[in-house]
Amino acid sequence: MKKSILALCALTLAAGLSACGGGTSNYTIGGTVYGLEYGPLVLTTNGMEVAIEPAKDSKGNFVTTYAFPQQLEYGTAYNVVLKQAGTDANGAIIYQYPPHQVCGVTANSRTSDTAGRLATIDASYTCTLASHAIGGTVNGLAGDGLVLTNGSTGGTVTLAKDTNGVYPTSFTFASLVTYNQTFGVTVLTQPAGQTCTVAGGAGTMHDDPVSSIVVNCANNPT
Amino acid sequence: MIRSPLRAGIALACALSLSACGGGSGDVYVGGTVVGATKAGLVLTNNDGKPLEITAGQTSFVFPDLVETDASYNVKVVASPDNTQPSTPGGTDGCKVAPGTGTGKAVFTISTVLVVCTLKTYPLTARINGAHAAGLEIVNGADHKVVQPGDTTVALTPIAEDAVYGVTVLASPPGQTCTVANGSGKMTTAGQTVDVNCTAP
Repeated sequence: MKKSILALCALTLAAGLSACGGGTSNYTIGGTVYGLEYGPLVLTTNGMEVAIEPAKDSKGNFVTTYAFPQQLEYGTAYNVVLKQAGTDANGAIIYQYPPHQVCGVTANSRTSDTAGRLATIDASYTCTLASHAIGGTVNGLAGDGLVLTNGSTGGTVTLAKDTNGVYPTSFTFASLVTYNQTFGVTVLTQPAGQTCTVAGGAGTMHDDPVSSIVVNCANNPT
Repeated sequence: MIRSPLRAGIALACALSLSACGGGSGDVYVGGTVVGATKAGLVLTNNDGKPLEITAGQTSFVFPDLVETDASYNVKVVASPDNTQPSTPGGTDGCKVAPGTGTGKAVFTISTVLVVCTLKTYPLTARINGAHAAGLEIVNGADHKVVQPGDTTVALTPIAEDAVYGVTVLASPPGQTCTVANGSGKMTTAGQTVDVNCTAP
């Protein structure tokens, strides 16, 4: 009776050990990337690199799961970050974002830990399309009340004179325009005594801010 | 039942000093956020009590009548502005209390009630004047429409009353110049039409 209990103990111990990774336990580092529309997103950790391409789930949302090629041993620290593209003049790291997008760590996701500490490794990133400002120059403005609009949803900008009574010569919309969306700037309200026209007001947003829109104002004939 | 002496105490304190308890029958504020009330006419009630009128452009509200601690609150829309779109013609639910935010127990100040108004939209139309080859594209900001050679009118995405619009040409057909006349303005309940004029090819 006593012997059989001992044997059972030993068996339990052996089973327990293997479950705890008493041998060589390895862990796959990976996670999910949400919102990736243009690839690749390149993530790195522990000298490994993985290039992630967009994929859609059954609901049509951009969701991609990924895993690094080699596993890490229990207890190895990992830190999944975007691939570095270099450093700027101040020595700050410039990350290599996927085309037309910016990405950050998904809320509640842990991209930095030690392998095996958590039951599941979830180093997830969320990407959104980049947005940029639109604006340009104003020539000849000499009256109050000029309001420009970017369609119905892009916001308006009012070009009022400053505290010194000087009318602006440039403008920028507060609302940014998302990559690949169109914009179209028109005069919503003409200034007092003048008529303004917009040149180059329509376009499609690419990867840089737009500052080439020109508004020309001239006095109305008297 | 353990709390009843405490409650009695609060009630007594309340009776002795009405002002300290807000002058009402309770001590908890109920309020929240309003989205899309661009016109007057939104009226809310709490527990079917005194109506609270929301003014045009108001984005938050608090019922002046307080409710007792631990009492339930139940916010309802009893009237909506006439520029909102009810679910059935003549209905009052052009503005709705967002699911899960209008009822509950008032354990502390409630500021989580969310009332969202859905605005009626009206057609924004572009009339295309003159023959035009393929390649004409017009935009109202982010709303982008490709105009086919046979089109004489193009429906842009409808917009709410008083919302601004600005229609302009993104691309003209090769060899032609198309411009928009009176492309900007404010939407009215009659809808708005802008003219796109193309030079002869």
